[in-house]
Order: sequence, then structure tokens, then C-alpha cells
Amino acid sequence: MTTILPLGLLDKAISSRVWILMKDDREFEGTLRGFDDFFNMVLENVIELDGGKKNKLESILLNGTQICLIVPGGEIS
Amino acid sequence: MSHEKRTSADFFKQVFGRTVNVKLHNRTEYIGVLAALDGNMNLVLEQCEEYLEQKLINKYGQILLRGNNVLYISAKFNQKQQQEEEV
Repeated sequence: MTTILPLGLLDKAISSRVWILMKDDREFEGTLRGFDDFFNMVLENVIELDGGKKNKLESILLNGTQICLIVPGGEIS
Repeated sequence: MSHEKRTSADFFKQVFGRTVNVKLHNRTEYIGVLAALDGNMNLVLEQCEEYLEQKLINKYGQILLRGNNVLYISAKFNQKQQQEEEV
């Protein structure tokens, strides 16, 4: 029975789209390029959803401290 | 199949000297040239403009931003010569 660690799952999601929910009502959807132990993430072709407003960003380093939920292969609804 | 994993360290290297848009948890944005960055996301920005809700509220020659406030650091790699666009 193989154990999957959280960061292992994240590693599998590299190069695919991920949907990230923050502690406040903010969402990010982007292509995961990399991450570190603190859940700081490098994302590309990002859509930021903040209070109903969408914003497009080319490449970001997202601070991991406020990340709540990560959905591999997910999209902003 | 090898894919290139870009960690935060790689992002830092790529982003030095570029114009970045730094958004804080309180929705304030700073657009400026990245002069320094450390592992805590503390930043030094030069020729920096401060925006709150898409409106320019201040300009600074040089600022030190404490990293705990940072939500994200955004960079554009297609260096287009245009005015800072705030849509």
C-alpha cells in the first residue's frame, strides 16, 4: 500500500493546472511550476479571483502562508 | 519524462531587476523594480508606485517591504515597453 504524502501529491501536479483557495475568499488558478516546503508556489498563466474581480497574471510566486486548499486539475468556478 | 521544476529560488533569480507587481494581503499593490529579495519574501523595490484598488496613491524611490505582508510577487517576462497598465 503506497503512502502519498501531501507534497508528493503536489509534485505530481507540477506542469498541470491547479486551483488554490486562500484563507480569505480569494482564489487562484494557474499552471504549477514549482513549490517549496512552505507551500510557496510558482504559478504561470494565473487567474486571480478576488471579491468577484478576475485578474490575469503571467507568472507569480504565491506566498504559502495563506493557502488553504489546493485542487490539482481544478478550476475557478 | 523530465519536467523542469521551478522553485521559489529559481523564480527569485529570474525576477531580479525586473518590474514586479507585489500584492499584499490587504490588497495594496506595489509596482516597482526588484532590487533585493530574501527567503522571507522581504523585498526592496525601487521607483515604486503604490496602488490601492487600481488607484495610484503614492510613489517611492526605494522601499523595504516586510515579507509577511506579501500575498504574491508577479512578474512579466514579455518585456513590453508600455506604461504601467492597471486594468
